[in-house]
Amino acid sequence: MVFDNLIIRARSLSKSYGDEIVLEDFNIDIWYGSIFGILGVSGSGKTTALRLLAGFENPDEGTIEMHNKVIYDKKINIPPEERKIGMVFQDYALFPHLTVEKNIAFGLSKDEIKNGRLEEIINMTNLQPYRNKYPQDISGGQQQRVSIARALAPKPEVILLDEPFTSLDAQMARDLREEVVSLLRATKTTGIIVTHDQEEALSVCDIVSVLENGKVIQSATPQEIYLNPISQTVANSVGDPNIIKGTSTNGRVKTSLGTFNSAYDGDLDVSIRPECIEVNLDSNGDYIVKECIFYGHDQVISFENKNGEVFRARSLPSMIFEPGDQVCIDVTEVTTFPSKR
Amino acid sequence: MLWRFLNFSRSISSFFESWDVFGLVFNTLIVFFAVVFSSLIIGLIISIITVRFDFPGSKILFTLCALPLVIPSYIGALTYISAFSPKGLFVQIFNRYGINEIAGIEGFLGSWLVLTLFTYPYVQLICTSALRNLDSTVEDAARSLGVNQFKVYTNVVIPRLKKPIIYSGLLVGLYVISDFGAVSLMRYSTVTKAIYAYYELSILGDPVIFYSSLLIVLALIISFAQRGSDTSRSAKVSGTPRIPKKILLNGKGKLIAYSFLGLVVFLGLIIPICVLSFWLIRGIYYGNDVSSSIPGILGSFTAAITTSFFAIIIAMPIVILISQYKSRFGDLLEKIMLSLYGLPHLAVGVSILFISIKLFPNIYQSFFALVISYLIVFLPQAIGGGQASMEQVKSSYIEASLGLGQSKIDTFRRITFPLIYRGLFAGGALVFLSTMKELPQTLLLRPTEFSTMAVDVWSFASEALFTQAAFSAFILLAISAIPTYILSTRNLEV
Repeated sequence: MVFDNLIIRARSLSKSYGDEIVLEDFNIDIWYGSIFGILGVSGSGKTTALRLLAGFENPDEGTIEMHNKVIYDKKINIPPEERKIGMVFQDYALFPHLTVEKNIAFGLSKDEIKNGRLEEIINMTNLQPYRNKYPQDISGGQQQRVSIARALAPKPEVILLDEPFTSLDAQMARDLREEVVSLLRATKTTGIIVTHDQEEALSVCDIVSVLENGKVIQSATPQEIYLNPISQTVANSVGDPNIIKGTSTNGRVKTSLGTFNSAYDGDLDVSIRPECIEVNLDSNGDYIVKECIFYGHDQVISFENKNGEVFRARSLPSMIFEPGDQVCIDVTEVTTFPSKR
Repeated sequence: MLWRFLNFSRSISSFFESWDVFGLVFNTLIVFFAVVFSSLIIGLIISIITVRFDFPGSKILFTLCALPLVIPSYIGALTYISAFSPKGLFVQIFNRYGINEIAGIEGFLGSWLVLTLFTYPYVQLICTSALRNLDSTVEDAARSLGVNQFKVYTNVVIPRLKKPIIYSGLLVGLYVISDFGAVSLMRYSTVTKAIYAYYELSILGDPVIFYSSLLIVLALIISFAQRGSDTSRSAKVSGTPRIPKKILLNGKGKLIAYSFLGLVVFLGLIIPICVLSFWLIRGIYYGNDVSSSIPGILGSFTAAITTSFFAIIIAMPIVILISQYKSRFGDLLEKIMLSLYGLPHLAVGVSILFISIKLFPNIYQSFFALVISYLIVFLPQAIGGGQASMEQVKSSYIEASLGLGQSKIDTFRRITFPLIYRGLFAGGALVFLSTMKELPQTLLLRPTEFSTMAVDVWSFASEALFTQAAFSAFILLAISAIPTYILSTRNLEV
């Protein structure tokens, strides 16, 4: 997908609550029509970032621009109701005293309803059968669908989704996720999804920003983030790599899993993803299988070396490993970072 | 209050001698402890019987036991004093069996009985909801460690109910020391009765001020103790509480349960209603003029409607302020409202009287001053109602509405107000009822020629004109019974 227009540009946003710094020098560029992910553990400041963009809270410093016009800086502060930014809340925030239909129609003018916008959005989101029910009488998945329909109805340019699928069970979350993405794509609405779920961020978003302690540490495409994480934190937040300490000299680093090339010299953390280790049965192998967890679509094999260090590899389900089997390994890809001191 | 108190402290030594301070305080404290104790016992037994045991009719008996709550203490006292005075109704009925006179229950005995009968439902309701939410795994653990079924209650259950027990006990205590209607009709000299007696001698005489201050001090001590009772933190068990299965009562158990609950209902509900009905019918039979009650009825409605209207109007912004500025200002507002709640009505009445006479002579004996004084004590009820519904207005609703392009005013009109108005109106309905039943403030502050049903009932009853009192008392009871019944049963289902 090609994006050529910036819709939101936030520069050096910061926010503190008392002594606690929640966001620090937060910068993002969001392309018109893209789906942007903000990935971070709880407490990393991702929800605060969203609330600043929506205008529910004001940053201590920084500027926010939309379509190259300032919507927040020291002088200008466009209130949330005029920002044309929709929001989907983690707890859905459906109005309990209004029916599904009235909830969806809430942000629409009488004219818009007359012109069929309400019908359109209800049909688009398959909510026809529930339109006269109250939010508390429908399932969690349907409630979230209503909340998305409500946000989409007034045709906002940007929709902010705060952990939109975390309160749903896994299957429901996957289905709804695909539906929401296709809705956003179809309506050319820019989506900003805040999540702690790496699978969600990687599978749905065009660009992902990884947030740690209120700072963006990397913003890139999912592939880039996954394959070339710029720090160990990023590597850890997407995937579950083996981290091995080593010292590099002359661009070569020797580790318990082999010797690899390195861009830096000195003390290094070498990160090797489980799926980048190929395991094969070999009676002369240097490693011994400790445990094998079978998932169906793949399996995770824990194995140890002579020093008792344990590593994990991921392989296709067809090969059978038993604890105690001798194996050899082949590492296909590694990433190295300077060690944190 | 303090200033007033100090003002009179120079003559304090003479107070103690001539105004029988020790006697009055002693009487007040004795009835306080007696009623708290007996209400706790009765309320707790009802809770345990109905929550933990299963027998036919337990639900209806529970509700019947809670109903005396709606009977104002002066109506309860009226029925008991008229039935059990030395030559009262009881003697008249049992005359033919040779009973010509009984000892009578005037004084401490009657006050204790009447106040207990009309306050134990507080304990019953508060302790029942606590008992229902009690996780019983701790009891199972105690049983598995060899504690028998009875000792589980004394050693495990009741200690864990410590907080609601202290809380409801002090609530009853607050009610007792503030009560004027029952003790005055029972001619039992407590602080409140003394205030009114001295007031009749001289409106703002030194003893009136002194005893009002004393009353407020007593009430504040009890309120603080009540809030302090929050300290006993019970260990929270993770997971959903396991509710114990009710134990099916056998024949002997049923007999005990039925006779206990039956006796309570008989004393708290059947006697008052029968006695009142008797006076009403006798009044109609002898052709009493009902029209003399009409000004009082109209007065009650006027006062109650006006007060509840203003209570709703004033409560609305306060409710929103409390929820929005949760941190500082809201906390302060909430605390002020809470402390108003426990103020004895008689003392508030005296304060308003004092202010109106000394500072604003224009409003002395005006309807306006009366409504102000109602609002001071009943506003917390309206706010409580609004607050309960404000809790369901999550901040994300407001944000969702703003995010959908609605202005702040539209958000209030379309979200906040529709969500809170029911609660506010329910609170307003409570204010309506409370105003209707209110006695001491009305006695002190009502304009000349203005009367309410409560005032009529009390004045007739204190002159032993029971047939005249019965009509207004009946209407008052009927009006307050219906909505209170609905409210209390709704509470019970939570």
